[in-house]
Amino acid sequence: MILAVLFFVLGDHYLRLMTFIALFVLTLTGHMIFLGYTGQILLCHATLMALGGYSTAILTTKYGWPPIGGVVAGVILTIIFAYLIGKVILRLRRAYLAIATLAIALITDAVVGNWIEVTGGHTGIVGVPPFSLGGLVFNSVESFYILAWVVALAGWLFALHLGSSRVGRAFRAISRDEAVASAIGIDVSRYKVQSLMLTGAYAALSGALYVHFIGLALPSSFNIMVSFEVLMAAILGGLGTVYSVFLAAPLLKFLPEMTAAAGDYKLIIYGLLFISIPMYFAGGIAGILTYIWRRLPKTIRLYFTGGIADTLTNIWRRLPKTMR
Amino acid sequence: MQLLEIESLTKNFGGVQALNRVSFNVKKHEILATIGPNGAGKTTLFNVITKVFPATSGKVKFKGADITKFKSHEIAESGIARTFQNVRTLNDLTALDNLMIGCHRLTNTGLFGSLLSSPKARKEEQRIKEISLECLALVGLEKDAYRLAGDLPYGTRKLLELARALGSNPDLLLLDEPVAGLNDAETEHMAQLLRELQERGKTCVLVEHQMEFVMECSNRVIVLNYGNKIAEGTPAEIQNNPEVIAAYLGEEHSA
Repeated sequence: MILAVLFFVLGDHYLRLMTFIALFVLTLTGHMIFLGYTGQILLCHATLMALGGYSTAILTTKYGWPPIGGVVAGVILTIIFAYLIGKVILRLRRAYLAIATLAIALITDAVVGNWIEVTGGHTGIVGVPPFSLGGLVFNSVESFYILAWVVALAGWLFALHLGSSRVGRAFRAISRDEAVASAIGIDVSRYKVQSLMLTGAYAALSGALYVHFIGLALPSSFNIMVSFEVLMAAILGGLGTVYSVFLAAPLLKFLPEMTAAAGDYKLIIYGLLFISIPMYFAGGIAGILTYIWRRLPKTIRLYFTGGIADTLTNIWRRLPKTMR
Repeated sequence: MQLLEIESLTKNFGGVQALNRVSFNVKKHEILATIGPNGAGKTTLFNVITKVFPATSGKVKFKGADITKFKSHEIAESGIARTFQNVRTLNDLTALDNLMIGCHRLTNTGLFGSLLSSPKARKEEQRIKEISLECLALVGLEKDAYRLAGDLPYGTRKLLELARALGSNPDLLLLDEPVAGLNDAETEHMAQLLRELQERGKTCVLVEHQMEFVMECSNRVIVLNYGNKIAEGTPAEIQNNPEVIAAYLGEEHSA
C-alpha cells in the first residue's frame, strides 16, 4: 500500500532509488535464507549476482536472446553453480567457510575484471536491452519500479512461507546444532546445499534484473564490496526475522544520501553504526523494534498482534454492540 | 525378537580403545541399561550407533538390516532417536518448534512445497503440530509449548529433549543419562515415563550412572569397563557380579 502511494508521490530520482531498494530487498531476502535460516556465512554473495547479471547481459547482447530467456538462463546457471560450489565448500564451517567464500569472491573480481572477451573487462557490457515479457517492455523507471517490487515482494513471501515450513525448520535446526539436526534425521549436507542454491536463485534474479534496469553489466555492481554490503545489511537488519530486510535495505541505500553532508566523515558514521548495533543489539534493528514492542503497554499490543486482519477484528470487537 | 544387534563393535581413537569387540542384543519392548565407570565407552557406544563417528570395525543391525554404513540422518530415518548427555534442546526456539523439528522424519514436503506453502504442506504442518502437542502432553509439558526452550529449567529441558526424540515416533530410543542432574521427584517422573513408554511398545537403551534408577527401570543391564563388556544380566545378577563390583570399587575390595 505504502509502495503504491510512493509510486505516485516520488519523483524520478527517488523512484529509481526505490527500485534499487526493491532489488536489494530481493537479494537480501535470499541472503537471509542462507545466513539467517541456515546460519552459514557467505562472503561471495555478489558472485552469485554477477553470474545472473552477466549471463543475461551476454545472452541478450551477443546472442540476441529475449531478456526473459537471459534472466531464466542466468538463474538456472547460478543454481547449478551454487550446487557445485556448495558440494565442495559446505563441508567447511564458520571461519573456514568464510575464507573459502572470500576466495570465491576474489576470484570472481579477477575473472570479471580480466576476462575481457567475455565480460568486457572494466568497461563491462553496454547496451543491455530493457526487460520485456511478451509484449510488455519495462523501459521506464515507473514500469520497472512496479516489476521490481512485485518480484521482491513475491520472493519475500516465499521466504516467509519457507521460514515456518518443514524445510525452513530443518535449516534453522542446522544453524543451531548440526549434531542434533542429523540425530533427528535431517540430512545436513543436502539441506545446506539446497539453502545455498535457493540463495543463489534470489541473488541471480536480483543481479539479472539490475543489469536490465541500468542497461549495463559493470564489475563494480558485483564486486566484493557488494558482498560485504549484503552481509552488513543482513546483520544490521537482524538475522532472526525476514521482516528485517525491509528495514535494512532502505537504510543501506539511503545512508549514502543521508550522510552526504558529512562528506568523507560519513565512513565514520557507517563504522559506528556497524559496530554499535550488532554489539548492543544482537538482533539488529528488528531486535531493537521487538525490544521496544515488548515494553509497550499490553492494551496497545493487543490491538496489533497478528497483523492487519487481527487488528481490524480486535477494533471491531471492541466497538459498542449497537454499532456492530 | 531382536531389534538391535551389536556384533563385536570396536572403536579406536588413535591408541585408545574406546570400545573393544562389544557385542549385545536389544529385544523389542525391553529397557536395557548400559553402565560402567567414567570413560568406560558408554557414550562412545551411542555415538557409534548413531554415527556421530564411524566404527573402526564391527556391525550394527537394526530390525535385521545392516545399518553400519548408514549416515547419521539415515539412522534417524530408520527409526532410532536419541538424546544427549548434555541436554541439547534448541534454546532460542519454542518448545513446540523443538518438537516439530523432531517430527522431521514423519513428513516429506520438499523445497518447493515449503516455498509455496502448498495445501499438502499446510496439512502436514497441522498433523505434526498435533503430534508435537501430544508428545509434549505425554511428558507433561503441554503448558510450556509456546515458551522458549532456553527459558525452561534444566529438568524440564531434559523432558523436552525426550519429547523431541519421541516426536519422530522411533522404534528405539537411546537415552544418554536421562536423569543426570535431576532431583528425586524428577527422577521418579522420568522412571514413570520410561515404564509408560515401554507399555506403549517402545524399546529403550539407556546410559546412566544413577544406580537406583537403573535397578528400578531396566529389564537388563550390560556393564562396560575400559571399552570391554564385562557383564550382562538382570539388575539383580549385575549387583552381585564380582567383576562389576571390582570395576566400580577397585580390585582390593573384591578380594
